[in-house]
Amino acid sequence: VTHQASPCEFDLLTTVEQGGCSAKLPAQLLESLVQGLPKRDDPRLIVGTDTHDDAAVWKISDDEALIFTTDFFPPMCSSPYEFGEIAAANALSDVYAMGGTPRLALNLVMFPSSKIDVGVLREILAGGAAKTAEAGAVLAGGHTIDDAPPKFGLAVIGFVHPERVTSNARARVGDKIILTKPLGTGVILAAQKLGLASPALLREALDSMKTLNRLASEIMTRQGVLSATDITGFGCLGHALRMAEASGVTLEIHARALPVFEGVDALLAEGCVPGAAFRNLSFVEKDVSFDPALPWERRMLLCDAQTSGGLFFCVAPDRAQETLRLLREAGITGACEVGVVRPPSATKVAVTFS
Amino acid sequence: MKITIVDGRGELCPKPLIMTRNALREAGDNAAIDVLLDNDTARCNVERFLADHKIAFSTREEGAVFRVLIRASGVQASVGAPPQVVARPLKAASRGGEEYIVSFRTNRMGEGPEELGAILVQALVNTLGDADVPPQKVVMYNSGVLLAADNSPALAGLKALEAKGVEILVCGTCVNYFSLKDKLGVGKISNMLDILTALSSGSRVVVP
Repeated sequence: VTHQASPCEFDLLTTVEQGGCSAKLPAQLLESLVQGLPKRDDPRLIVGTDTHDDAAVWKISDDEALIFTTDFFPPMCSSPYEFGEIAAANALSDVYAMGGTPRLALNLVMFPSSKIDVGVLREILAGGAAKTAEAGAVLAGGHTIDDAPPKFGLAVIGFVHPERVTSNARARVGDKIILTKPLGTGVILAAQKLGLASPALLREALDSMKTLNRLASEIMTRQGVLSATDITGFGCLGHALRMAEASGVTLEIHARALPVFEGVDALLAEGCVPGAAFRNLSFVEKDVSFDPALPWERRMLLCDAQTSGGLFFCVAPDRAQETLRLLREAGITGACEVGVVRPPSATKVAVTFS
Repeated sequence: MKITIVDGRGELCPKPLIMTRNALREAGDNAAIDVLLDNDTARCNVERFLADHKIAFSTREEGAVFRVLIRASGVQASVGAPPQVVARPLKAASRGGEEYIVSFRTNRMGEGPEELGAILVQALVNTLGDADVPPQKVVMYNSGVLLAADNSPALAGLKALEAKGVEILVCGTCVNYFSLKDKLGVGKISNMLDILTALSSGSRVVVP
């Protein structure tokens, strides 16, 4: 099939079956694949693969560490420019989740240049470049492969003070948990393909996915946060579980308090549950306890794969209210307190609904 | 009973689940729905949805197509409210007086999470016990024989089936392999000839 439409009219969604972070390999499979790889420890690698963190962190000196990360995926929206923005925001987010500042980025591009007008790729790259510039980072090249369907993302380098790295492993008992973006982008993107998402709802989700986690990250680091992650393909529970495991604690998630795009509950009730949510559920369920009163739809929302989701971090209890106020004043209106860190127990994540 | 056919063939997730959910809603109190699916992901997800909502079902493989048979009552899949669903007997097997054999090749139902498979197989055994027409025979081989062990969660359901006169054939080689000889709670130890005879008898074979 040759796509003839001009770049502005071309619908990227026609090229893929599943886009964004839904296209990730299942977590179980990934773990079994990397298990056998040889590991080389280096004292300078202060965050490696053990804690399933968002990025690797390499200590350069006593007051500087380098954050290194990459993310790319197939399109999840129709507009090439917006796809570029979202893919870049998603890749940059890993640096923000580690408490750092992105400085340098490279494009990662796969594009079927004989089948789709290369003007479409130009739009994708322009969107990515704009988002990278907004983050204050420098785009310094990249790598392209002729391949279908299109995929785009970045490799990013950022910097952070070695003692202020917000890894998965530093959640402290008593900390309050804050989530900075509403959940439900996976549900909305699935609904979009079936014509079930209203234009307003879709717009809200696209705008949220395009939003950099920059301000949220700056606020959390100023508030002394030590443990953070971003919610992406493994869903809220998948990422919460990895934090609980890395920190040796139990995370209690208050399912009534979750920020969620308005309209997502109704879509879930219609049965609009993406396959990735089922995959994530089967990955987490042996380590998660669910309140018997928890509606099925809420459980699936907690497993919904997010694309360019919000930061999920643990803040000292006496600073939680102030942090929320600062986030909302900065325009991060979706931010909510969604749980608390408990001492380790039989279940690593406990979902309450009271 | 009127059976609604939901044709989810050729559809990708979450479309088949949406179609199933709509059909359940429209069917109201006495849902009798056959869902046709042609990919395993859709099958797993629809089955998971039904199991989570305690809606009774069974699945038949018909060549490359999965037929998920839902025979439920009182389906209320409303948002927020916990599902109030009462499992009802499987009636599909009564159509046309067709006889059937259930063959447990593993101690679980379907492919996917082990825990889910164990829940499903237990539900299936209980549902079989309530069926208008019980199976002619049940055969168990490979890890399927674990279901007949005295600590099996499906033991009570299997005993009820046996009490109704359903013959339960348990592969002897497999019993020895798993060292279950003194721990068998139900069924009779059988050999390859009997098992092959049962499977090739011309009755339909249901493989959970």
